[in-house]
Amino acid sequence: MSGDHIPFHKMSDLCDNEIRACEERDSLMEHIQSCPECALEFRRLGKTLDLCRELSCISCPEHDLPARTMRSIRSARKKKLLLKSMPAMAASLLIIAGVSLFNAGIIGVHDRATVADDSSRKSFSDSERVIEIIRDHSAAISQVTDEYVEGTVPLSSFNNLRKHLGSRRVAYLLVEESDPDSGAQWGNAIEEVGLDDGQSAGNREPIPGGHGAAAQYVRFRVFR
Amino acid sequence: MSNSDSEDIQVIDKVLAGDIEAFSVIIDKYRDKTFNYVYSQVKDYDETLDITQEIFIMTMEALASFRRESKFSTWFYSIMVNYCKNYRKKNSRYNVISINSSRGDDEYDLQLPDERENPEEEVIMNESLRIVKEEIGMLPDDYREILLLRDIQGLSYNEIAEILDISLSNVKVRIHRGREFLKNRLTARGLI
Repeated sequence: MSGDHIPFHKMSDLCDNEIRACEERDSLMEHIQSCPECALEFRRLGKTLDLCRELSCISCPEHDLPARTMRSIRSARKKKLLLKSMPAMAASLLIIAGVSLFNAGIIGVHDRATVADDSSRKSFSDSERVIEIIRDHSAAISQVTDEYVEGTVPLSSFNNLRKHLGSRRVAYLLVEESDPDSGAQWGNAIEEVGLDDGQSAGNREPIPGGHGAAAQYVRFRVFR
Repeated sequence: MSNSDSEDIQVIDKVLAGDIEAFSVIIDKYRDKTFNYVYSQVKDYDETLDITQEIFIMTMEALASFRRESKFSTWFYSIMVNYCKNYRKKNSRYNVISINSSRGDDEYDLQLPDERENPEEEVIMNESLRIVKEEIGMLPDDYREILLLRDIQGLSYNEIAEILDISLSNVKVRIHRGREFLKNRLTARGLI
């Protein structure tokens, strides 16, 4: 106690039953009963706390608050789920859109054309290479078509030429003259298909020179 | 663990198992206390309703992180107190507290349990409570916060220390000072 009166914190503790020692509690109560000033303060504190307790009885005037809150919780949940599934949905939409566009020919056609271009370019450059090989072996080219390159080469050079043509499909026959207009019987031609490089270079059996004394040339067709 | 606490835990288990609707039991149980606390801190009726709702939504969202080391009510009140604290911090520069004791436009009608037979007595009590609310609203933040938790919500010193994350002795000091402050104000208003 400070001076003759009870300090406020002791009164506050007394109200909260925070003064455990019975002797101290009894002594404080005794003082309150005998001291009008402390009794007044103690009554005022009690009244203050009573009014506070009354406030705790006030109910929330919005009776539909739980229902409203549950509605908000449900919609927040839905939003959250939607946001979670957004990347998957976006990916699915992209795939569907991509497939649709591809099927409609809006995308991907260019790629197909490119492939076609590439194959014709490849075929074209291969024909050029064939022509180059033929020229290198002193052969005469008589015809270049979409399907083949036709030419005539001296019999002595053919084996070497054939070796350089590698795995390409080649049809050939022995002729007497180099003249391309002289009738060639392509129905009797020998046709070789696709020997691999190693075999054609080293293991091919050369055309024997003795197919008749008149046969000096080989008429050939190198197919694309 | 008291009955009330174990009831809370049962509801929480249901909610966590996927029964979201069970959460309405928690809302029903805590709505009045939450509403009163928020209103005392915010002093705006519509804002109070929004914040009360927001606190429940936040609690629901955070339910999985409730570690059950304390009572659910303590954990819930921590969310409530922190929400209001942040709200007040954000809005402090715009708050104008009226010095007049006249009833503001935003004040809602007190809904006391209808126990008083004498209507005159009810009017006097309502007026007294209006003054108390007003005076609590004008207390310094620290005192108001602690009086709301102790003398209106009825929480123990230990629970308050846990919610506010302060020492027990600090809780006691603030409670005593807050009460003294309020008692003096109510005396000055002639209410007690």
